[in-house]
Amino acid sequence: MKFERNFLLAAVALAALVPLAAYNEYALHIGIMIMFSVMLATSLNLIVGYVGEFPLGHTAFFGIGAYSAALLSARLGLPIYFTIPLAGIVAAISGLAIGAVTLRLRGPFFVIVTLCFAEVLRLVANNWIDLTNGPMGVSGIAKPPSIAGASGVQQKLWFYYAGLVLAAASLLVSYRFVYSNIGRAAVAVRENRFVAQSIGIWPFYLGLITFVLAAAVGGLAGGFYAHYISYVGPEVFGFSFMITMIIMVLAGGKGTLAGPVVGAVLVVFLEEYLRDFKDLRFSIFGLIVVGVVIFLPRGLMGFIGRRHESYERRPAESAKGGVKRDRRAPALEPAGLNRGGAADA
Amino acid sequence: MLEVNGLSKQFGGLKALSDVSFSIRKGEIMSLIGPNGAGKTTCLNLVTGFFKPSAGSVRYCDYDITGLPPYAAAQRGLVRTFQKTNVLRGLTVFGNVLTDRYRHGERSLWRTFFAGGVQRERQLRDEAAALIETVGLGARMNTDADSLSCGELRLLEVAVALGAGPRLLILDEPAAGLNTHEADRLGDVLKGLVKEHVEAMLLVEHNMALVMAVSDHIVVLDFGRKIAAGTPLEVRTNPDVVTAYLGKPAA
Repeated sequence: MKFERNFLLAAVALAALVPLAAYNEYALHIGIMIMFSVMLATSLNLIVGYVGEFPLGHTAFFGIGAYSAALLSARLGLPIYFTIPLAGIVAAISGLAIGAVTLRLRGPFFVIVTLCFAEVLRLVANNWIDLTNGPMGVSGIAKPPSIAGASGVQQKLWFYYAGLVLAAASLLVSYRFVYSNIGRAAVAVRENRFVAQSIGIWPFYLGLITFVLAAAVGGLAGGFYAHYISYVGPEVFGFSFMITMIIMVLAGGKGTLAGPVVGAVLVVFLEEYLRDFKDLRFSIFGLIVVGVVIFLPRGLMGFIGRRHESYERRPAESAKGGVKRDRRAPALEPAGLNRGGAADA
Repeated sequence: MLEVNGLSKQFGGLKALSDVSFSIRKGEIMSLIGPNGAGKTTCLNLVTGFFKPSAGSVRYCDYDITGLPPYAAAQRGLVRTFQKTNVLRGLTVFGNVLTDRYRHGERSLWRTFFAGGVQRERQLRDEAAALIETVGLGARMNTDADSLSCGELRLLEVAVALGAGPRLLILDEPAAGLNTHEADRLGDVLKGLVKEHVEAMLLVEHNMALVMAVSDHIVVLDFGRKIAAGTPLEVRTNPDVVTAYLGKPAA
C-alpha cells in the first residue's frame, strides 16, 4: 500500500520532469501515448483486477468517450475543458447501463456479452451516418484555442501535461477507491463471492460501482485521444485497442495500481522499438504475452499484488475501540491451541 | 428471534429436508445435530438464503426473510460461517476482519471520494483490531491468513463472522478438526459471545461434547426430518436419537 503510493507519486513526479530532458516532438508524442495508455490500462485493470471479470469489449467505453468528445466539439463547438470531462460522464452513464446487464453474468458469458456490446457500438458508429459520419469518422476536432497558433512542439507539450493531469487524476481516483471500504469489499468478492455475501456484501452493487468508475476513466482516455488525434472513426471500438490494453494490464500486473502504469510504459516503448520489424511486430508482441503469462503470471509488479493490511497499535488509544470488549470472556490463547492442551494438562 | 416453519427442500427427486420447524429465542444457543447427510447444512443454506426453499418459511425478528438473497439476510444481522472456511486466504488476519467490517464502513461511492471517510476508516480499523483481540488472536494480527494453524483459523472464522456485526450468528461446524482441549476453549468463547456480542447463536456441530456443553436447546435431524428436540439432557436420552446415531440394538 505504502510502496504502491510512493511508486505512483514518484512516477508522476518523474513524468512531470521528462519534458525538461526530452523537449522534441517525437519524445513528447511517445510521452502522450504513454499517458493515454496509462488511463486505458488503469481503466481495464479496475475490472480485471478488482471485479475479477474479463471485459473483452472494454473499448466500448473508450469509444463512447472518444465519440462524445468528438461530437460535442465538432458539432456543438464546446471547448476541450468541457468535452473531456463530459466524455467521462457519458461513458460512466453507459457503463451503468452496460454493467447493469453484463454483471449479472460471470466468466465466459460476461466476456462474450461485453464483446457484443463493443461490436454493436462499432456497427452503430459505422452505420448511423447522420450522427457519426459513418466510416469516414468525425474529423476536425478542435485543439484548445490557447495553443492554436503555437508550434508543433508547443502543442505536444500542452497535450503532454494535459495527459499527465488526466492520468494522475485517474490513478488518484483508483487509489482512493481501491483502498477504501468498498474497495476492500470488491476484493472480497473477487476472492470469494460466497464469503463476501455472508458478511453482507452485495456483489452486483460493488461490481457496478467498479464498472462505472472504470468506464469513466476509459471515457476520459477516449476524450483525450479524440482531441489529440483530432479524428475519431469506428475503429475506436475495434479489437486492436483491446489487445494493447490486455497486454498492458497482464504484463504490468493485474490487481495492482502500479502494474498498469509499468505495463503502459513498456508497451508504448516496445511498439516504437519494434517498428523496424513491421508486420512481425504483432507476432513478437504475441510471444511476449505468452512469455509473461508463463513466467510472470502475476505480471511485473505482481509482487505487490498481495494486500498486506496491517494494524499498528496506538498505545494511547488502545482502549478506545468502538466494539465492546468482553474482558471476562476467557480469551483463547493461540499458543495453547497450537500445543493442543499441553499447557493445561 | 428466528422462526423456521415447515421448511422443505427438494433436489430433483431427493428430499433433502422435509417439514422442519424450530425457533431460536434471544440469548439462546441452539444446536442442530444429526448424522452425516441429515440435512443440517442444507437447512442453514435455506435459512441464510443460499438456497431457495421448496416450501416453508423463515421469519427473523418478525421479518419474513424466506428466499431473500444472502447479502440481504447478512445486512439484517444474520451472519454465517462456512463448513470449509470463510477466510480470505490472500489477506492478513487483520485484513480479513477489516474487510468484514464492510457493513459498518462507508458504502456510498460519492462519500468515499468527497466526504472525509478518514475518521470512519480509523474507527473501523480500531474495531477490527479489538475483535481480533476478543478471540485471542492479537499476537497474530498482521500474519497472513494462510499461515495460521487449523485452530487459529477457526478462531479467525469466528472473528470474521463477528466482524459483520451479527445479531444471530450461525456457525457451521466451528470445531471441525479441533482436539478436545481446543474445542473446550472454543465452547467457552462461544458462550462468552452470546453474552456480549450477539443476541443468539445457531450451531451446526458434530462434536457432541461441545454441543452438550454450550446448547440451551438442540434439534436433531435425520434423513431431512426433525426426529427430536429439547434440552441437551432430553435429547441425549431420546431413544430415536440413539437409534439414528448408533442403530437399533439387536433384539
